[in-house]
Amino acid sequence: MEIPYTVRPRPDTGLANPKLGIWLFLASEVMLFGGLFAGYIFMRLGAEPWMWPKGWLNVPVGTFNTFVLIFSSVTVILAWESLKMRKLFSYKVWLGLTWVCGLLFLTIKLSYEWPAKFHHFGAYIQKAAKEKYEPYLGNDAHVENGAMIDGHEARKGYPRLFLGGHLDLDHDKYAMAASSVQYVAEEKLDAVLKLGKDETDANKKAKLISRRDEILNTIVIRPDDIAELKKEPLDPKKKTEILHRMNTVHMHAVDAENAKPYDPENDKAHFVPRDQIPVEHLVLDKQDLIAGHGPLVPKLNTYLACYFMITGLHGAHVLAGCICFIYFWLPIKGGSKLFYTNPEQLLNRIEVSGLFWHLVDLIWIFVFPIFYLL
Amino acid sequence: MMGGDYLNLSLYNMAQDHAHDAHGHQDDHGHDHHELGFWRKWVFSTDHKVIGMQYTVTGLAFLFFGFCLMMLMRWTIAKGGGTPLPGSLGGMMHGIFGDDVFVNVPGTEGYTLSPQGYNVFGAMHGTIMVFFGIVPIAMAGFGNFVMPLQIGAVDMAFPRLNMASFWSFFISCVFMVASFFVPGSAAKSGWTNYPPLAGIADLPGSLGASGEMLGVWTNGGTLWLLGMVFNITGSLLGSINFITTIVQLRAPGMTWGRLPFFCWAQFITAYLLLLAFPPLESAAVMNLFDRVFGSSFFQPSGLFVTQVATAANLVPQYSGGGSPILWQHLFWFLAHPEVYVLILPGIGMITEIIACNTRKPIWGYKAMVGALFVLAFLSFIVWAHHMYMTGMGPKVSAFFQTTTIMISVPSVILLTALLLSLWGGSIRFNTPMLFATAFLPMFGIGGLTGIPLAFNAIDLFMHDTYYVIAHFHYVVAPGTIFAIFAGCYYWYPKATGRFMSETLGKIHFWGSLVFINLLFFPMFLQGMAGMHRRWYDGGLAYSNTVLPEYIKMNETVSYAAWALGLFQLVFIFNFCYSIFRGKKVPNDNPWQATTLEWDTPTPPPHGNFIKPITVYRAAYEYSVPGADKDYTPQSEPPAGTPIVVPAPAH
Repeated sequence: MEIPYTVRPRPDTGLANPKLGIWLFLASEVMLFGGLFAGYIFMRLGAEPWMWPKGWLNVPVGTFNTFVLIFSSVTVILAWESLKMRKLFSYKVWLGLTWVCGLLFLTIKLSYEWPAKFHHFGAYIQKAAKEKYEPYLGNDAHVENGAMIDGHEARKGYPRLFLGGHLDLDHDKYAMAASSVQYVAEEKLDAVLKLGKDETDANKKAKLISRRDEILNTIVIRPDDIAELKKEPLDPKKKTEILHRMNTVHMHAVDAENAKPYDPENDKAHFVPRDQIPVEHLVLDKQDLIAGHGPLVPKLNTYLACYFMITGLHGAHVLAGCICFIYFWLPIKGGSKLFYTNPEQLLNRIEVSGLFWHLVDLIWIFVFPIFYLL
Repeated sequence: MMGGDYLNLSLYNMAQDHAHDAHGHQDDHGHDHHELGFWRKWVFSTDHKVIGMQYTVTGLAFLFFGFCLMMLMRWTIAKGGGTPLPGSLGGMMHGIFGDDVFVNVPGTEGYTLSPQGYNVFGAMHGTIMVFFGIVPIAMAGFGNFVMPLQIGAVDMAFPRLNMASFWSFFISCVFMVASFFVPGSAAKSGWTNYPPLAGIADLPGSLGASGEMLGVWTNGGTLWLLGMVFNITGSLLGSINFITTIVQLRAPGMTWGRLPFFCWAQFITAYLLLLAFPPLESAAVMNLFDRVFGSSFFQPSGLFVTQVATAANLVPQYSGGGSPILWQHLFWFLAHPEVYVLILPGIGMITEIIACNTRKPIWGYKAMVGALFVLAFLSFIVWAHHMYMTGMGPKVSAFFQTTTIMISVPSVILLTALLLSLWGGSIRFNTPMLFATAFLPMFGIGGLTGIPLAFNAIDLFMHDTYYVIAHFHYVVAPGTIFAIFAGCYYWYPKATGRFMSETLGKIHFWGSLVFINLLFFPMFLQGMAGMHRRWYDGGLAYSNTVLPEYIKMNETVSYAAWALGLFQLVFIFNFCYSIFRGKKVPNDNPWQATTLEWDTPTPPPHGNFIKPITVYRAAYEYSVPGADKDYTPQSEPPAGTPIVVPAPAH
């Protein structure tokens, strides 16, 4: 049994099966990313102005990555062309460059762009607590529009309620983990500690105690604090100390726009990691923060949710493309050895995976401006 | 016409030559010379017929499972929440599903469905019936088995992709079934899975009824989404395969105008799946992000969640800023075309069966094909008629009301053409034909009762009532499921070489027809009286707003449902028994049909046809005046034609 038209086109449709298949697949991909971009539009239109950040991404790095991808789209064409001319060596060079570019793109994404966000801390201040953090927010609550502060004009517009910076990781290795825990009221902690205390049924007691430990593990990050809380009797002074530690955030290096909020330099788009910023120490009370606080992860706001989801899914596509190209590049039966037995089929494979690669590239052409530039 | 055939033949020869030089490098397909082992032949098979049967059997099992969930729900609807299930059934169910779903009725030994369990079963009934029952059977099952045979292909265009789509579907089945057995049980927020409820139900860290904590991944809501992602992926791969196969692998002479209507229906359906499913996949991924990483795609600002069961509030605090309406848009952008994914393969099967059993060509074949195209196009721009309650404003709703009314035109064309096809036929009322005939009025009732719902003003009142339930169940249950039964009885001889029992088939048919109407018709009345579709105790708690007569109807409906369940046992028995003991088919074409699937040996071997197939005529040449018999197979050359023998197939 032989399935016809796997390599040569069917005369009346002018298509080989894989080519039609990949175009259909690309159509569904367009719809998939269409759904995601629809999500982005909804999120962005629905966001309050101060919730949608600007300048969190590194534009030069993003631009570099864009060119890497565009370049790889050119090399894949050249690989196809070399194969069409039956030049194996140049095929291997161009295709090799293609997947190297793909992997370079992913490396930059995963070793630099994404981790930069995990090491940064951000918090939205509740409107009620705005006064308290006013010097770091740079709102014009106290000054008239156009008044001069530090030699700069006071800014107008929406109140800023976002504080960003780095946590004191040198002194406290638990800082990042603890920072995303929500505010825990004293009564709640008491209720948790009481779990299973007065239970007489041994079986039930064990269950409740293990439940208590589970909860403690989620809200108290330091093991020694957990041990302290489990002690009987509990030292009330220690408890207050632990509660305080749980319920505050110690920001070691505040972002430039929060450290010097009136400096017009900070109005420009800038990037998350800043080494040259003035070190300023700031203690945030978790009670003053709204739900969105912690590392710059999808949980923080819908911008980051969109960012991680769309760039993540796009990255998965880049990875898939790279795997295909490496497979066609390696001297194995389905790969470049096919050159000697059935070059036409290898050509088809490169054409089909190249079409996919162009779509991945095209999607990035949309992703780049909507996240980095707009 | 004849010249065209010769041209096609020469093209075919050319293609065979090409196939020659490809041969030898295509080792993947060269293995059919020796017998495959059990695992490669029946489990990890790339043969479209085996995959079709795998889909059909899995789908039928899920169809029955989903039906059983509903039969259990009907108990509390009929009797209220305080009556234990009869006999040891309650205890048994409690043993299987646990405390999250079944609770002890105070003061008795028995168990009954808990309100939470009712939500679980309601959500899973819908999900299973639509995504795990009907689509896998009607589209993937019958499509895989019948379509390549009907177009004269050796297999699907991408056999390994075909296997991948089945196994992707299978993984999704595992997720869905497993979700019943995690703490907190399966998803509870309806088959539509509307947020914000869908985002906060079954939250990780909350406690199930038995006191166990729900995991981050192992909870009903998350497993539902994972299951959907795999299910959708399988559907997408399948639809790519279907379209490519129909475009590329038609036998020589099988022009578009000669394509059997079933293949047309599969072709259009595949396009619907291909373009409508990805937005739901993206929505499912966003929802997964919400549930697992705590993002807020669908969680609005100011959403407060209180956890009664836990001392500490471990609920992920949503940043807010998301849009629940976004989910509805993305969901219904799939789910309205999905309605046609459910019905079109059914109409395709019915068309084949009606043509064969009336012994005359389908009336208005071209109009029907045109109607399919219009239907497919329009189905993409009607989705928001499911969302009138979101307060979309008169301008937007005017658009969607208009398109919704427009889409009834092609639907009526299809139905009318099938109805007129009966006219003047010498009808053979065998079991498949009985189901096919019953399909017409049943689908008619389902379709016509949808027209009032298209209007905003009526829908605001009818929304989420039993009227809606009755409307779409008439389309899908006595509609598509009857078509599936018809298809089972009709193609069973081709798949197994034996007929299913006619007597049992007729018992199954008449029982199903009577009780399915007793089941769904009263729901129209209940819905118009204001009964809401999600009431746990069948409206007892709302007896001051609904007249008692309508609440009493619940019992009639429930008894009808259980009786319907009994009659399905006849089908299950017939299906299993006939494999071994059914009447053997006298020849390869027992129904004396014209289409190509009957040109194969019975059951068809790997590779399908033993001779090269060429098509000479349209799909339904029944009772052609002057012909020697009342059917002329598509592969039969016109009298007096010199027979051109194509190059032998490999």
